[in-house]
Amino acid sequence: MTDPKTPPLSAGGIVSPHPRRPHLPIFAAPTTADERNTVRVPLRPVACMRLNDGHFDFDSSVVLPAAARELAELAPFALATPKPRPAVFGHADPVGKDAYNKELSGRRARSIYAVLTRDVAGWEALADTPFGGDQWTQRHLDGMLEALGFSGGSRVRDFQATHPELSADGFLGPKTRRVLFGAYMDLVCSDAQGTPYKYAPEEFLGRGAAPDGRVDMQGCGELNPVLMLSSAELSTLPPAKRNQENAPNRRVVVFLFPEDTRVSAGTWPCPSAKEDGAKCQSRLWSDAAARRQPSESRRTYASTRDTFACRFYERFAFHSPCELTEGPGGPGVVTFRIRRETDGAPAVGVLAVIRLPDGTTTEVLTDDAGEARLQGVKGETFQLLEVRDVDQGHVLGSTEKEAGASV
Amino acid sequence: MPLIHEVVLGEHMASIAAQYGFGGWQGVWKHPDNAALRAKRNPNVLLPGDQVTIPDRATGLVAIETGQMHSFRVSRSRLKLHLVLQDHDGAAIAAEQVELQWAGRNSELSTSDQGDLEAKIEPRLASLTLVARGQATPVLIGNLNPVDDPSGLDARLANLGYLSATEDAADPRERRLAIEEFQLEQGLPITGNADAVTLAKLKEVHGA
Repeated sequence: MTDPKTPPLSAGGIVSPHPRRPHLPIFAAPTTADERNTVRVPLRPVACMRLNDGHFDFDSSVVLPAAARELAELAPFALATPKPRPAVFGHADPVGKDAYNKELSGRRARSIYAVLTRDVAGWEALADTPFGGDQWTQRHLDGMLEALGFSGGSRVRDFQATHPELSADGFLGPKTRRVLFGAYMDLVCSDAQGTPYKYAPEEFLGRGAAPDGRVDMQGCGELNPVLMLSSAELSTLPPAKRNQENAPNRRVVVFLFPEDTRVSAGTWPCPSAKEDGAKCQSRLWSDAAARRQPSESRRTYASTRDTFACRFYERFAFHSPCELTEGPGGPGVVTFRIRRETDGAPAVGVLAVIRLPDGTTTEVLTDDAGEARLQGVKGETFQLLEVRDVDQGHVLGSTEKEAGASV
Repeated sequence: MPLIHEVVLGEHMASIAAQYGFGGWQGVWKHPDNAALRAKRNPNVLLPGDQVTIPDRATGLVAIETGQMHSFRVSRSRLKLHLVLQDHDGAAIAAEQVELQWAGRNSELSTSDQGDLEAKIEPRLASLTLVARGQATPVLIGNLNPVDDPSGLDARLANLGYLSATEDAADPRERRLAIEEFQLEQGLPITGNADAVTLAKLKEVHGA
């Protein structure tokens, strides 16, 4: 038996709070007649998790053990009070047919939703309705057994022996598969100490109210790639290489919304993960057709911001560290964790003045954890020049510290 | 000699009039030299750089008899702040307990069925703090610029939740996103451009 508590190294993904902009005011007009100032609570995520393609088997909705790392990083949000509400968005790459990609991205979203809610029946449905390349085979079940520490010729029998409700007949039938799915979900969805955690369906953004988990999970298909290959790459790369280059686009993003957010299924534009993409049309950018065309050079969402066709999705993604990355190998996020010298407490809501590798400086507000985060950045040397109090404008500390961050 | 006052951010006619010792703002606003300003602006929504003519204060002389009681009625500016609190989808946040804090005062209020929240304010009150759902948000009074100025466009889109509130001008790409989402929800042609029809609708939906 291998140690079940050490999943393989992460194949990429991010869990991050969204940048918060504390204390920003409402600009209002007074009134001497009938002027009003309508102020709406924005529909805005507070955190995100991105699971890269490497966390799924190829062309499949089977979740690999490596996803455990990101899910462990998600645990503090899942265990927080109040508990922010997740919504799952699956994405495919822009190669192949729209309808196929929509379906596969929806199946991956359903698969992650099932893990988070321990909906074993959700995985059974995926396994029992194969779709294109997404076949849940014996090989996948063996992979789950292996991750749980069961390998060799008697793996099924050994697994059954650890579950008294199963008879140790060595046959991986529906009942054993159900228990295996549950045990494997517990393994990949647990906190840093290995304690499993989960969400109830009513803790999701749509509170589990709409049929087929609409609002709570959706497949965006190929509408929102983070990377558009150049027209030359698309016409000259051999399919296998092109597929490899497109990996950053095949991802599942979970946005977490404030606990008191109320979303009505009636006004939520996204179709369920099982429906086709017809409902998406009304939310596409006015220039969506141009956005979906390749250009002479590569475009990435982090740099050009013109690769998403769905405008509604972009409302959540625009400031999201999970989407402002260059994919595996380039997280594009640099974080300065700022502490008060006096007591070591996080310096919340102070302005960090940072010199970027290109010599320009930028100012970033620290969030509730005292972290100043730069997104979509490139280069190696980031210099924290000074830290200022945002209200008084006076310098709290001045430093020439270098962050040897490599991006 | 009338003075020319150049408007800075945070000023509106009532605050300007009070600054020069006028009890009400209408007299200043209606001065003939302010006709051009009146034609293009709302007295509560001025743009920094606007020029307001401040007339000389007339000294009122009233002849009265001694040995009797006389009543004088002084017209005071009745200035209010009117907020409408809504959820992200435009549904009213009705009958919600909120707090307004200013100048050491703390008033607990409840929003109406339509989410309205009204408070009488002094003309020179620059800001107050709205505490709703455990979150404190400063409200800067008089800082809303006209809708056809980029800062006024951004402020309304931010108040309505389409744009992240920002101290600087919005990222033009996020502003375009906000405008298209607003146009869609209002049934306007989706162009991403802040055309006259869109600006008028934005002003109407925001309420100023």
